[in-house]
Amino acid sequence: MSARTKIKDKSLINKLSPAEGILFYGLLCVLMIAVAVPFLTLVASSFSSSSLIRANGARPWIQAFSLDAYKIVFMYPGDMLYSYLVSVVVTAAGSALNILLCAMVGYSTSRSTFRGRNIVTFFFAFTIMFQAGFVPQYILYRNYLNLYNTWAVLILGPVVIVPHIIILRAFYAGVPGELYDAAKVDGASQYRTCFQIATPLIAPGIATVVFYSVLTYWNDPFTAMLYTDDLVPVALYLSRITQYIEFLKYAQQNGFAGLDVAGSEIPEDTLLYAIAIATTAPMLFIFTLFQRFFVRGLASGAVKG
Amino acid sequence: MNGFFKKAFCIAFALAAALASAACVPSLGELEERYDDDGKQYELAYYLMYNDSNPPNDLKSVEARLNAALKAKLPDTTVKLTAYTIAEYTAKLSGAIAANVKFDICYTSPEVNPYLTNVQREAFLPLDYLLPTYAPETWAAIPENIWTQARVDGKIYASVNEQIFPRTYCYDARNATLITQFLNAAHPGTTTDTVNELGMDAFAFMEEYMAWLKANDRGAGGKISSIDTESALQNWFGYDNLGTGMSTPGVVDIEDGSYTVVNQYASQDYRNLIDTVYRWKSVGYIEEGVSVFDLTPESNWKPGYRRGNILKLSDPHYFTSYVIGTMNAISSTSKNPARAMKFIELLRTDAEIHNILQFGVEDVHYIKDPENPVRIAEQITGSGYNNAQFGWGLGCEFVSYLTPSQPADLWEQVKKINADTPVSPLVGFNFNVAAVKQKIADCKAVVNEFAPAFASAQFKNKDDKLAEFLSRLNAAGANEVVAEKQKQLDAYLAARGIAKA
Repeated sequence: MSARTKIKDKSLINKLSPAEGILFYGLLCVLMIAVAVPFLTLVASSFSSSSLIRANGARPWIQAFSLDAYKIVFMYPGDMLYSYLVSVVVTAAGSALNILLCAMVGYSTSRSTFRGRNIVTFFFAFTIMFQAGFVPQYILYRNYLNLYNTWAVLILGPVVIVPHIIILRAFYAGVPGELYDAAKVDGASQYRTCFQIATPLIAPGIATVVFYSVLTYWNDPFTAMLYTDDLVPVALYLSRITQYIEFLKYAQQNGFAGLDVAGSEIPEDTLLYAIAIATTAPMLFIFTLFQRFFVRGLASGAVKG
Repeated sequence: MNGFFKKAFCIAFALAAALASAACVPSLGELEERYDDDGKQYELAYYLMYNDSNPPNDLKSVEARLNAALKAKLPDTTVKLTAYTIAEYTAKLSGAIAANVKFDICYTSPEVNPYLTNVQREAFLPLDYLLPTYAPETWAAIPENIWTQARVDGKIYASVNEQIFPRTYCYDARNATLITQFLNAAHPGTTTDTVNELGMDAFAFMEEYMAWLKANDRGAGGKISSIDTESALQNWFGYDNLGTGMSTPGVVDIEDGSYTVVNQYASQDYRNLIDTVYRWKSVGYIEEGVSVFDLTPESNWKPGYRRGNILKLSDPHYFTSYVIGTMNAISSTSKNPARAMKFIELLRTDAEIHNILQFGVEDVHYIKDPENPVRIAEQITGSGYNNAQFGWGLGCEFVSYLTPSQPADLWEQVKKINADTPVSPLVGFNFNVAAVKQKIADCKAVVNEFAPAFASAQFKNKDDKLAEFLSRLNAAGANEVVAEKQKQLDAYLAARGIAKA
């Protein structure tokens, strides 16, 4: 967010007087601190000793370095890595398919030459307001599509997200009609017009949807919880660990299941922080790495569109 | 597939499934014939509940060991195990039942995989014929009034598991050393298991402990998070909620022979409870923003359970909701209910079968105590199976092996509590919610809005808020619910010939 503001306002900043500059950068610093401090607190607390966190509360610095929380999160490293693998595959395949389908629907319903576009749009919009609920969906997936306990159910479950269609439809609607006419004159097919003419022009829209779609797939424990027995993505694996805290306390007090946790304390306070880090770290890495592409897409789109 | 058609298909299929299931409900006579065992090779599908956060990694070897043991004990039968964790069990089963998945046995209770809901969905078979025919020991072991408690419209739909039936009020002191020091100093001769014998008010005792911690500056001690309202109302004040849960108004004081249904939230006991919480907060025994406390609510005291930490604060009492707290049901999709019933009987009568499901395979998942054939010495960490904490859900807890920390006469103690505690005459009363279903839901919403905040002293002005709470409850229909409960209870008491005091 801050990067975007910076690029847009670059020319403006050069024109600022020193006093205005100080104010401007001061404001940015305050915003940055407001974002950074909670995050630093999260990271630092996850590496701290649980008893100190309990006594002093969470702080944005490490209190008595300890890896106890991560020892529990990575107690079964094989399972954990397999969960990451499941999540990565499902997120990559699911997001790609999600973008492809949403872009195709968004493109076709945005074209005024498509006569049935209002009816088709209504069909999709209808499902936002009226939902059949869990039971019919379960029956459909399990009995009629035979998707139970398959990779396909994790990928296909959230594959059509209507708000994504609406976002993309609005972006496609902004593409000048003359471009479509020109493409038609040059003999481009509908597919070619969609993917080679219109889609590159709405890169910011695609970037936004990629962002949401990746987050949707990555943070979805429910599809896996309901529809699979053996495939456990990270989101589900970690949500199970939070349930495990209670069990650990119980187990320890009963003196069974010799858990390999240093000391006698279960780091239940820091464990939640460690779980948050384990879920968000890969996303953080990916988005930091690709942030410049998003920014470029957003900026170039703003000029051309 | 696009969203609209997906949903349209769903609706159509759901309707079709509902019609199909409504069309083929056989009469009881037909059912009983269908229930008999044909003696052919059969694979029982058992949805096992697994009391851990993750499903077991090594279910296969447990299944293999179980089937090897079954060869001699239940011929021509194999069991296919599917294990779901407690947290996910309800969702998984609700899906499987909705989709008419073929299975034979599952766990059910008032809360987890809810019994009444599933009976109404016709997910379970009535067992009135099967229980005495194929599970005579189970049928004989459970007292008649507990079977009555499990009846819905006169029929039993699940086999009740034998475990600790009465409930006892308790709190978890968390630190065995500190609580022992306190008891030695303030009440010599009393242990955590005999605090109830002091005859003190439970809250006065807790307050004394917290004051002692504070005065002697033991650690950060002397704090509590909140009072568990449900447990306090039931297990301490002795209010039976007649099976609707404590978040629905309408309870009967089990020690008062007048059998008057009252709104527990309008009672003096509830007002005193809130006053206690607020007093504790004002002196700093309740603190906000801290997640671990020296006293934590625990729903129920049991013998040999976290020895040294759990404060037994009351005497045990029977309550209608908890005598059917854990049960095994047979699915209406079962192709051989008689075989399923025989397996449920084996869980009770055969320690080997029971303990395979509880502890796994000997020397693979656990090591037995060489000196005691019914005690395990160690559960092997990371071995992939540990369902030790599910003994209470496997037919009969009394055949479970003991864990290293449990006393040798644990099951004798539990049996003694079951037998010695006077059974409340209310046990056997089934409240039919049909007439006030919506009002119950409305009242629950109001209770869930106010009660947790009162339990941790969150409201600034408690008197105004309590008045608001009660008027909102009345608006939601609390009085009608109470009246309906009273009406049905009166009819039950009259039919049983129980006189009101």
